[in-house]
Amino acid sequence: MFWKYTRFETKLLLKNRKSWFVAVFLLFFFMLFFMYYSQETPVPLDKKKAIERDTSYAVFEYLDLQRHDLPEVAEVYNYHTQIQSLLGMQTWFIGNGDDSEQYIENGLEINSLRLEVHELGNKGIPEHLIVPREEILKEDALLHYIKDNNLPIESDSFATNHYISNVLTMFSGLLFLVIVLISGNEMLVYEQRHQSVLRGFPLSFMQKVTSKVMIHFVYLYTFLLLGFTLGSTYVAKKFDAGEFSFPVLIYKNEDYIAISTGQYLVYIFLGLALATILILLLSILLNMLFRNAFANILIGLGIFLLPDIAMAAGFKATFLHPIKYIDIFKVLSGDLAIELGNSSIDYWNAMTTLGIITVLLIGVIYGINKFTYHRVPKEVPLEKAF
Amino acid sequence: MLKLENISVKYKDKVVLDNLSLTAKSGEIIGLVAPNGTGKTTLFNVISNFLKPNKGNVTFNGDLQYKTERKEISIHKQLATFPDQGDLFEELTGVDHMKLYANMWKGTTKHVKEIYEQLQMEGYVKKKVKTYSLGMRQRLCFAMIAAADTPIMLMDGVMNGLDVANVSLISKRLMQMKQEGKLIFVASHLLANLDLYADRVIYLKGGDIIHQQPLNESTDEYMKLELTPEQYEKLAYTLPDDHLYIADHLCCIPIKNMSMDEQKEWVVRLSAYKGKELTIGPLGTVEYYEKYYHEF
Amino acid sequence: MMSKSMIVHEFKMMMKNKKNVLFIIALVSLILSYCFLILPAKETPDSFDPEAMKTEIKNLEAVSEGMIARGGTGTGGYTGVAAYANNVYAQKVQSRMIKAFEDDNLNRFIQLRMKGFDYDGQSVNRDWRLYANAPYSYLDQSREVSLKNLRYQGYLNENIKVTYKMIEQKTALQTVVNFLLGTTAFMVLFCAIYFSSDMLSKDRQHRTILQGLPIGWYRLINVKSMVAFFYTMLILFGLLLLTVIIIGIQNGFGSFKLSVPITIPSTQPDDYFGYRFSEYDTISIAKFLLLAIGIIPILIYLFIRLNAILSLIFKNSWIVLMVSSLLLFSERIYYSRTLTELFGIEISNMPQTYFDFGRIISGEKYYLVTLESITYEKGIIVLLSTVLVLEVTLFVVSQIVSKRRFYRKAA
Repeated sequence: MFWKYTRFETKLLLKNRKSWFVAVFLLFFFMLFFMYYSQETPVPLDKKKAIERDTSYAVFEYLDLQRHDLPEVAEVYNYHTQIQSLLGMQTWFIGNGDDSEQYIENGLEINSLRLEVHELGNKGIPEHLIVPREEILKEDALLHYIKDNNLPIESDSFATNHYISNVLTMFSGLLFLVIVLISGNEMLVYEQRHQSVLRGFPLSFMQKVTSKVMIHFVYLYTFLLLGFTLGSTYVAKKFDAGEFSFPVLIYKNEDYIAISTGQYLVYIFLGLALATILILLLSILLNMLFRNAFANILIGLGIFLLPDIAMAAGFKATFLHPIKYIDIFKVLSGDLAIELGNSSIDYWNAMTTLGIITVLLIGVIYGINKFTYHRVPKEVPLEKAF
Repeated sequence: MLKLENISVKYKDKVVLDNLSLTAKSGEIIGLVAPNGTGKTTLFNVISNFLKPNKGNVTFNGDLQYKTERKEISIHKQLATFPDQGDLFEELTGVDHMKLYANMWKGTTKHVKEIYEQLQMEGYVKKKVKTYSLGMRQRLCFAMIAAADTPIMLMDGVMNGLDVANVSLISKRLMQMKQEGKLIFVASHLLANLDLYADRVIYLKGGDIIHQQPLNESTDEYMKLELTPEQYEKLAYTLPDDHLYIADHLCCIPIKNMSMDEQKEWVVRLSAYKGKELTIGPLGTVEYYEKYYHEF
Repeated sequence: MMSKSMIVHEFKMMMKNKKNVLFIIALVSLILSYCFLILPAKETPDSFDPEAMKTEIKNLEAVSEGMIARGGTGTGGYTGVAAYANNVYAQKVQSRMIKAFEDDNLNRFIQLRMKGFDYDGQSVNRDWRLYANAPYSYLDQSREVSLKNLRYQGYLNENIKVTYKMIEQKTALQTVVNFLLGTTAFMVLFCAIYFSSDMLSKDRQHRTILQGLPIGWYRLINVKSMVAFFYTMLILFGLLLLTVIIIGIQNGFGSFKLSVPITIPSTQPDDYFGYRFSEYDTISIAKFLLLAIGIIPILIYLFIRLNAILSLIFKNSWIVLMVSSLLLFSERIYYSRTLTELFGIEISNMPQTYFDFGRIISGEKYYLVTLESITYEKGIIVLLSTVLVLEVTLFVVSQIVSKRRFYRKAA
């Protein structure tokens, strides 16, 4: 019975023009993005280092203003001279010096020196020239990983990672939310338009809900995976690099670690899967409460924006933070922790929280449905909605 | 099989059903007759629990009621309702719809072909619903509920918009279903048509059943003649006490207690009224309808 | 006469349409939460924190004392910069700024601030995606300073009672102007898209009632477009009124005479510096709003007609909504600071450049891509031409997708 119903729902989904549009969008989004993005050539590492070295040199201008007079600034100045010379060495080792081991060693030392400077409060260095702590930690994790796994410092596979992280920045979060909300916005409301045909099936409400969520999840996730694979194949061919062992940095337990690209993608897609299910369940709940397809999207978006509004208004509403966990890319890269000022937000906490919320949603849906059977009509008779 | 006890459906300003009770067994076709807006659809909605009444119980097979979802599903496994043709899926075919109903209730689609062949639908049943006329859609809706093949069926307006041939097809099928032991409720405005297959006809008025007319018991025969009120006034004192004057136009004289001679006498006397039909037969749904609802 | 009853019917349908009502509620909630929750607490780039400045003065004092202690009060050897003199001057200016602010002598405050010793200001709220990857990023910064000074100068020139809220740009008029100047202006056009996305498709649910109405198909589309247009304008006006009233009560109305800084191509001859550069000027808020009112209806009308074409082709309001929105933001797909041509055509000849209408009026769009042919006047011409093209297309499409074809049911 359940599977026959599911087959029927699938048929309906296939006939719906909106689903085709979303499917096509998901299929080609990644590839188009990569095609557009490939017009820009990524900056090679030696140039990046040169820029870093020059920017760092500018700090001396500011330090000079105060180091004779303020002792803290003098200390910072000391450290900075060491940092600067190491930076110079790095540019050599990456260029003609060609010694990646030394490069890495120097890099690690620079990081520890910079952390020392942070301890001193960065006195004398203007805001825009301070290297943030997170950057230092990230660089550290990256260098360690490269050292431990004997990888070359620079490679085209870095470029692939760059692409991936760029496309995910754009996609994960608002765009993803909107797509899932749009595809699922009529899951229950659709039944209202064919009420006398679909009412009265000997199938429990939860079974129907499971069927609908399942179908929408499968269809969305399949096209997402296909689209991403299509895009990545394109990028890999273009750069002739497809190594999935190259490191990507993620945030874990208030620190940064590097993991291989393959592992990273697994995390991302697990996260997206959970987020998809959660958003679909939310759509069902909103359908039950508001009975209108547009309400679904508007309220779904509204909920997502609540933490931003609260923050802008100055409320420190930590209980709203989990809403933002849907942007799994930001969670993984640690940017969300920085944005919300809550350093305990990492992938594992977020996934657990999302899982709990999913279970809660199922519970609420179940509860509301159960309630309709136990309500007693007082003034007016009660009508069955779904 | 089905029992309704003291069903009341009241809104703030209106009473639709008032303390209605009813029992029905399998192998029956029950006609439901009432003018528009007197609660036929509401009654059906209550029976299938699409509407929860203010008061009253619906009981199936002696002990099953709509108290929890699981019980509701058990009941719905045995009950199917007639869909509205406006709710059909335009992009799907007739067969798709029938298979849906067959799968959801019966679990198999083997019998679908036989149904649409008997209903003479082969010509179009594989095309998309958006190409259908009203009659074809109505037939499809009936085919769907036939494919569901549940022991209890609620049919609200099954003959709407159908031509004479189609009405006959469906009536035949209904009689066949009754032989198979189904309990079928038919709400209809085709009153004479009900006489063909219904076992009893229920008349709703004021929120309750005001009359139940069993149709296959041996019924009394009447002589029926159309008379204007003036003609009736003149004749009234000669008529036997148990005569009826229905809806200000039909005079009915029971003949069961009359001898052959008395009957002949009456036939001659009544034939004097030229230009009107004199029929001899039992009172049908039409006559009862007029009797009870004439004020409208 | 029959058109008139059609107009009334369409208008009623639009007002009762649940999707529209919900959206308006959402917008009103956004406006209310912005006015009551966000705006009061918001720190703008023009906010002033006297305490922070006092701390800075202390720092400067420390440094100058240090300079005196080691005798370094002259000019620097290499750079020729008189560090000590600058330091002392900075202290003077800053302490006077604080005094002027606390005495509520805002005119004096503004004059002092324009000297540029206010380091702690936040960076300006701009759309970073548009500013990134500039070939000469220093130009951006110097432009910010020039624009800010022009605006401040505007506070002084006219006979306006300057308030702190005005300096912070939190008054009603200034909020509206800033809303229209930035990326937020797209909301205005999105409303037009949203409200008209189902103007044709919703009728398909009521085929038997509407298909037979004795009114020509093209005419019907025009009636619906017109109703959608006036409805959108009405709602936008209502929301504008609401915003202005609430913020006006909170922070004051502002003045129409205030200056909106604009960026224009240099009026000097080409050999002045040897290269083209930008000049900065101001227009009053009144003029800015008038220019906006000139271009907004054209854009709204454009998108409504576009939606009509898309509705005929796709017959599904969701697809229309998504495709139109994509087109609205299409510029972002290819945008860069240096891109001035698309498929061999200059982007100043293409309509989507002008969807960002606030930036067109203020000249920022011209500045960002350094293409002098992007002007308001050209924008009007390009947009009107696009409307003409759309009109012809719509007419043709409405003949192909006739009323009968349109009503043939699909998902």
